[in-house]
Amino acid sequence: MTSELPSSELPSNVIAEQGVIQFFHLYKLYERGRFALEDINLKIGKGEFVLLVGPSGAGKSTLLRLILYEEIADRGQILIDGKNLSRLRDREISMLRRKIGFVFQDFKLIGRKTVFDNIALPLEISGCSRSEINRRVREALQWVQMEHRGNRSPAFLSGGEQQRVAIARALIGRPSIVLADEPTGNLDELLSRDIADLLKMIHTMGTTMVIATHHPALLSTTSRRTILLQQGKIISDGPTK
Amino acid sequence: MISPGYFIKIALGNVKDHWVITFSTLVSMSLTLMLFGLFLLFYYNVQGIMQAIRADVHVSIYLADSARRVEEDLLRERLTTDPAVLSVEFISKEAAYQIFKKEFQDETLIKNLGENPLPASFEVKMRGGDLDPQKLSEWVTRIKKQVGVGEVQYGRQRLKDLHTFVAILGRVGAGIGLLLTVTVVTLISNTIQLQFYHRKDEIEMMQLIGASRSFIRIPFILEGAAIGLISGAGALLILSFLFHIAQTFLQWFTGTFPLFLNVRFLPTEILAAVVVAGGVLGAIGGALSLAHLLRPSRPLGDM
Repeated sequence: MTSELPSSELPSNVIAEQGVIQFFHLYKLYERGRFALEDINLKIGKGEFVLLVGPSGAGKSTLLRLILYEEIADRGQILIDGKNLSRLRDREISMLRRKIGFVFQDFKLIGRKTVFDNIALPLEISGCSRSEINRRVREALQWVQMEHRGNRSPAFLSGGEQQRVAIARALIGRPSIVLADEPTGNLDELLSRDIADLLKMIHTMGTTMVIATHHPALLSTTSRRTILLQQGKIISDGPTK
Repeated sequence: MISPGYFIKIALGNVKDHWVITFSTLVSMSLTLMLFGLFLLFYYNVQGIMQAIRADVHVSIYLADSARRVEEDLLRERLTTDPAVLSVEFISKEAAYQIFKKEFQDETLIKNLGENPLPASFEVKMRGGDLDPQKLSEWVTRIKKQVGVGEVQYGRQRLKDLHTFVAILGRVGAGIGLLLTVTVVTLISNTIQLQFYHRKDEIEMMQLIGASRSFIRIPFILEGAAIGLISGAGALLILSFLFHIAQTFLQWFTGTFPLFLNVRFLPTEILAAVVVAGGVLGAIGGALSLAHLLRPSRPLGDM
């Protein structure tokens, strides 16, 4: 199936800048031969706030997973900070992921660890000292207004609180890019607005944000770029407002 | 740079957090290793008993009636300086007659013997261990050629049978040992994999937030090794307990089968090997389960 796809050469307009994501003629196939993503050409600039919208199965989550290299494309190239993902070695992929914060719809917190330890995980992975971890986790807990929940188990938190913890974990490594896949998907209206505000606040720090959502609270964000996906294709790419 | 202490802390934390499943893993691994230890114990003792039987090789060298004193002395000297010989006891013609009389205590038989017909002899105890029946046969042939020697007797057939039995036992034991080793390795590896399988999501999440493969793998290997070491020690405790019960039981039979007196527990080096093997197998199990659970950070494929 792959051989039937048009070949793609890496163009010369590669931007080697932190927080920049580029897609060149990207194709992703489902097993039955249907395209999950078809000929995606996209440049997300540093500090942009990008919303991926579209119906279920449009390819929003797949696009995010491809950026995180959780999945691989069948053809085409993805460049992050000017680095071609397909050329990176195992260790370089791990290093790159440390620069990307990912917020999952289902939070993906470790139930047996405390809130504090969950947030600390990316710093432990990076080999930070204990004192730095303590300082930065306390700081992150303040960002998400969870200062008094550090010793709790995630199991005893509400959905909104769990998502706050997940956001704190995504931010603790000071990533240049934050990806979020339906971050308000499991939350009620009030909590969703809360999380949306938090994501907007993170954007003000100069972080590139790519969020798959259809939540009105996020869609009403000023200074956003909205990309509409349908059946794996970009239908519209609204300019930043 | 992440310190080794961090990984040890994580591994111990994992053991604590999953203590129920860790405990069941410990029990299954201990029982598996105990079975292996039981085989080792059995094999070790059977080998010991065989050694004891082989060590009990006696050769009776009867002097010819015509043997002179000088020939007797030469033979004695040759036997006492022979490295294959453990001990030599001379039984004179008269002493042999006294032993015969004492053992048979049959006046008619002794009367019918007339003059003492028994020859003087050297009762030789050979060094056992690896004594080969072929070599012993050659040794006996050489002794027979010595001047003054009348006849030589030893349990040739018994020794040959024993040698064959030990060889078969060695091969069967090695075969069973190999099968058992494969079973133990498979069982332990599977048990450890089950121990870790429920953490699949956690491992996946760790990878997605940038943990390298080694960062994830090291605590699992340490955890597997720790479980293996504890299981090895646990297996030996159970085995030791069972051995002492069995030993008490066997002591009742020592009157009938004195060889049971030689039954011993495994020596320290084998005990240490069982514990270390537990640790190594646990670590291998941990590494193998991670090989299944860890997807490559960089998936292979045409991009």
